[in-house]
Amino acid sequence: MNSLQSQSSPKSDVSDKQTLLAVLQFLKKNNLKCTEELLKKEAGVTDDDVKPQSAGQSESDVANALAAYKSSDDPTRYTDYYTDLKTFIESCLDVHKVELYLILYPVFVHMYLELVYNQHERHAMEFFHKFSGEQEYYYQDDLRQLSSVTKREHMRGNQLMDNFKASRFIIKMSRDSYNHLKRYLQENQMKPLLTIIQEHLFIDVFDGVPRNKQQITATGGGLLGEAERDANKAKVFYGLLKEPDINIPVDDDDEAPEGEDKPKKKKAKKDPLLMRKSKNDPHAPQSNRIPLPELKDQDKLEKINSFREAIKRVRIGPDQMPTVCFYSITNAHQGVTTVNVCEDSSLMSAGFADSTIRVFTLTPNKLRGMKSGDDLEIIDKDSDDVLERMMDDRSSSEVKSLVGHSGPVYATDISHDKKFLISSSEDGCVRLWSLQTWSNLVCYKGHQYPVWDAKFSPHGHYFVSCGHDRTARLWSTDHYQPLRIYAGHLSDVDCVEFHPNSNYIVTGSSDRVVRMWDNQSGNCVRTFTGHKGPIHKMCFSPDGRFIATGGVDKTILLWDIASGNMLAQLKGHTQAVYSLMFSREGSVLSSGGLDSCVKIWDVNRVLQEYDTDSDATIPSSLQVNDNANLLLGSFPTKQTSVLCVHFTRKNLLLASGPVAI
Amino acid sequence: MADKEERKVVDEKRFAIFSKDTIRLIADSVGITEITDQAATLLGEDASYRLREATQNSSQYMKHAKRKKLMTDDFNKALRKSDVQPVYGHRPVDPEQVWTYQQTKDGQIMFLDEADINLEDIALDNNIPSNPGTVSIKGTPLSCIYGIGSFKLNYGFNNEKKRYSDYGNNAHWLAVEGSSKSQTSQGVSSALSTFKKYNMLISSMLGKPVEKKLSAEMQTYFDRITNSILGKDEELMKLAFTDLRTNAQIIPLLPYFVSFISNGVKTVSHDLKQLTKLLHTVRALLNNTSLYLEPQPYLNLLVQSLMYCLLEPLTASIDLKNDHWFLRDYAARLLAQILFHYGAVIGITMLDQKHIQEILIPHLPVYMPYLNSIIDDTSRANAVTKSDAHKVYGAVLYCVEYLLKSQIKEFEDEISKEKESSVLATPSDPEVNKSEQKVNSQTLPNPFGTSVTKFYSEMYDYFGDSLTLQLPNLAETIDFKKSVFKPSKKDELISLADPEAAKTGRNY
Repeated sequence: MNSLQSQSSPKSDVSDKQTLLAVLQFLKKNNLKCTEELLKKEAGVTDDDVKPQSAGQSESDVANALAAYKSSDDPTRYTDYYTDLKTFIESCLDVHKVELYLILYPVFVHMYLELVYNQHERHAMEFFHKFSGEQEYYYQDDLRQLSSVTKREHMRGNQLMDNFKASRFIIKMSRDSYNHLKRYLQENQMKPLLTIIQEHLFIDVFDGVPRNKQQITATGGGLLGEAERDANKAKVFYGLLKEPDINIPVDDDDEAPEGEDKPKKKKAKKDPLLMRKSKNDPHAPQSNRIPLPELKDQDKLEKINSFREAIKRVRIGPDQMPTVCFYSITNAHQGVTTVNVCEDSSLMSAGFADSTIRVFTLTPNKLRGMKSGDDLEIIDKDSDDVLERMMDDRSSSEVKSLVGHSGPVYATDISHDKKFLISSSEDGCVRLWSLQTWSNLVCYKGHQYPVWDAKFSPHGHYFVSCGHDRTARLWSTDHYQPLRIYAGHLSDVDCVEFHPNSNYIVTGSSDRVVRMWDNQSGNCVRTFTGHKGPIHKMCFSPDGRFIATGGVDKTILLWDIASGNMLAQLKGHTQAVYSLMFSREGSVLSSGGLDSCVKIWDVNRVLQEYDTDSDATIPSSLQVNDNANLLLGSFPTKQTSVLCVHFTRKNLLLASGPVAI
Repeated sequence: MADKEERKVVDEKRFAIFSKDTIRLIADSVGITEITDQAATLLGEDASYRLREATQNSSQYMKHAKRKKLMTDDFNKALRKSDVQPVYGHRPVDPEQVWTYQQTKDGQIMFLDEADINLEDIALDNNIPSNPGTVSIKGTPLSCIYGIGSFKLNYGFNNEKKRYSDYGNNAHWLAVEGSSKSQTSQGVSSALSTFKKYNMLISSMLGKPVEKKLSAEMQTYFDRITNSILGKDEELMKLAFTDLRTNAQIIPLLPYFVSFISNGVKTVSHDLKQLTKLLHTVRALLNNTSLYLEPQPYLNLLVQSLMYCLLEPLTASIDLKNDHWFLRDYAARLLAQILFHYGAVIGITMLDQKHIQEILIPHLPVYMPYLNSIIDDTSRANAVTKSDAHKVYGAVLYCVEYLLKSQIKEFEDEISKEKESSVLATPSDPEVNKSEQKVNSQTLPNPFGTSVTKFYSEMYDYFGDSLTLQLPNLAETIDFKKSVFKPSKKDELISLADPEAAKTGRNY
């Protein structure tokens, strides 16, 4: 019972022992027998203690780790143990019942693995078939994978096995429920059960009322349970960076014909979002917290431009629904894998399964290449329109292809200054392309396996990629090696996104967890559990405070970065969600996916109904908004899946996808 | 290997399994003849496991390709990841190719049914393969035209929309300010006025709606198709219709075809043959699975054209040689198809037999004497009207016959039902009648509260012996006495309902 208690109490006890064991291990390895004996005697550690513990510790060695499953128990007893545990839980009070049910799944998995490891194949199968059906629906995918493991040899090299072995399954539980469980385990000495709970489960006990079924389901679903209690404690600077001081000239020359009185009215109000940015936001990071490239003249012009456009923005809400403009990609027989619209909505890039990338222009400005070297010599480099002069009009076209990858292109992203495009592919490379010469500049090699996603920083210079090797990597365009490697996900990292202030990234994975990482320290600062399937798209709100995530489980979840709490569950899609975007002022969220439908959700309402006073340390006090009225509108296409939704600066919604063939 | 995979996808619970015999066979094929039972079993188990693992991994590739369907490509990628040679020869090149099953003594074999290809034929063939089309994001120009003109736009927003729709790429408005349906009439009229602009260009039927944005290939295609539709060559025409029905690449041409039809109908209203051809075009477009006929303005225009064919007093109908009934039937059927397509309430009410019953039958007492009088009038001047009247007479007769037939059936059924409580026999036209029969028998009161006998005698008054002729066994089958005592629950209605059904009967 000792170690069970130690789990709930501070870790110091455990870590002391571990250090001791590590030392013993070291001594043993170096054949320093006498010292070893002495130390053992002094610390009161027995030989048996050393073996399994130390084996569990060296997690990198899978074979060793698997040995922890070694057990001489009678295989026929497992069914009884599990049934007994279940009957006990069912006999509990309803309030505790729902919490205690949580331990059934990890116990089931580990019992099964123990049976498999000890080569009781037939018993393992029987056990599996008897109880697998009653596990939660969101674990069924994992269970399917698990069921294919029927031999000890299979356990080695199986990703899922490694995860179950190497990490503990985390369960949050109120103290009352925990005490119930403890008493039960103490009264009935069921060794295998006890070992499993001690070794493979981490029960995070909190003081307060037990959670109800809804609350538990809302945050459940992770490959290895929920986030640790301290996972979301770190401070996150979610505010936007202070805008550089740019003199924005008084503008109404270019829009004069539109109407005289309206622009003045708007200007008087000024944009609150832009106003706030210039004030000192306590939640904003220092502007030099991570080094950012200096603004060039052209970037400043672009900023002014975007400011002007933002002034003319349409406010979107329940009574002012957005207009949706749909670009269908026709004749794409090879298969479209990704579609993306650049920040100022003038270019659209698409990646195809035949390894090509195409860039389309959405405006009358055609795509032009740069003049040849000889021609560039001639032009007047001091003239104001040098950027214009260096472009070659003869090469203009509405679409340009970029060829270079040797596998399906899974992601493309255009930098905010529209000079570069980053792409990631199945071939394990990330490529940087110039949108001026329309050629490949750099091929970044580092990922081992397919690279699922790549994104430019909103401030340029940096980009981030993630892939099947379960890592995300931060790069800068001028280094061929990554600056940071973010490891921690237990399965493929399927998508990645930059925070608007470039100080953080967020990653979504097939382990059904969303993690937020600090680019400066490389630490994981937020862990969001609650998705029931792989996550394929995430999006930050324009103010940087909230994040929306969606994926295969057809649900969109809305999170508060400040507290790490889930705000809302948006349910309505009937197929996987592959695209998300907040409107430019953040009042609505649009989404699209394989169900060929663009949906609009009311974010403002979620925020109004959100109770900011709830205490994050007591999980049972948190409420998740799953009001069905949050869905404002749904716009179906005939049979075109929606791979991209994008709000222009004036809040016109662009959507795109391939016509089904 | 691949077929095992397939099976796995179909039934997740049943795992792919390599038996030791399979392993032996494979070992044999690579020259290893001596393999012990134990080794084969172990190898088989391991291979099965690896196969399942690869299958599970392949789903990841499917998810990232943003598809709902697992392809052989995905599986091959998963194999490549685990350092295994990909399986060649299972790439579904041609969607037409189907998997075929064959039962052998060792089990079911699944394979692609591929025909032998004679390379010589291909080499010497002068068929040029069809152009797969270039990848583009061009949409339908029309939809954006009415997207712009029709809405009160916010300041500055107008420009924004113009920017994304006016030029080059023509996107499609999925929703305008949140409403995907409620287009203002202004919007439609602006669409129509655009069409009118096109109209002018179509001065003759062969004219083309010249528009700069259309690519040269598309333009040629459109010209060819319209020419062959209106031309004399039957073969060519058939070819054109087939292509319209199946070609997925004509999406950009849709507005042109719609305008071609709607204008065509107005210009050639004297020529039944041409009108019929246009109706064929409508049908081809309707049947093309890759086209989306938006209610506004495409369907609207098509319906207008059809209504014209259906209802207008065509000048051509004066000419006896012209069978304008055929045209009308056809138009009606197409209309029904559209309405069905549309799923609109309109369609249902229009086709609702209840209405026909309520409207047609009560009018018969008044109408029939009039019709008879026309038919009886043998004067020369009346010849045309008379033949028309015969048509109408025929249609009404057909309908009444049908009504009677089903009533009789009903009675027989009811009688037999009393004995064995069997289910109603389905009348000849199951699709139309089955459901309605049920509905009617439960909800509709008999309109004139009569039994079949009464109805029969009433109808007999109008049609006389022609009715009995059509139903030779009428008298025998019915036990009149019985039927009189047993009030009919329903009066089966027909299908004048769909005008087509009645008339088709006469015409075909």
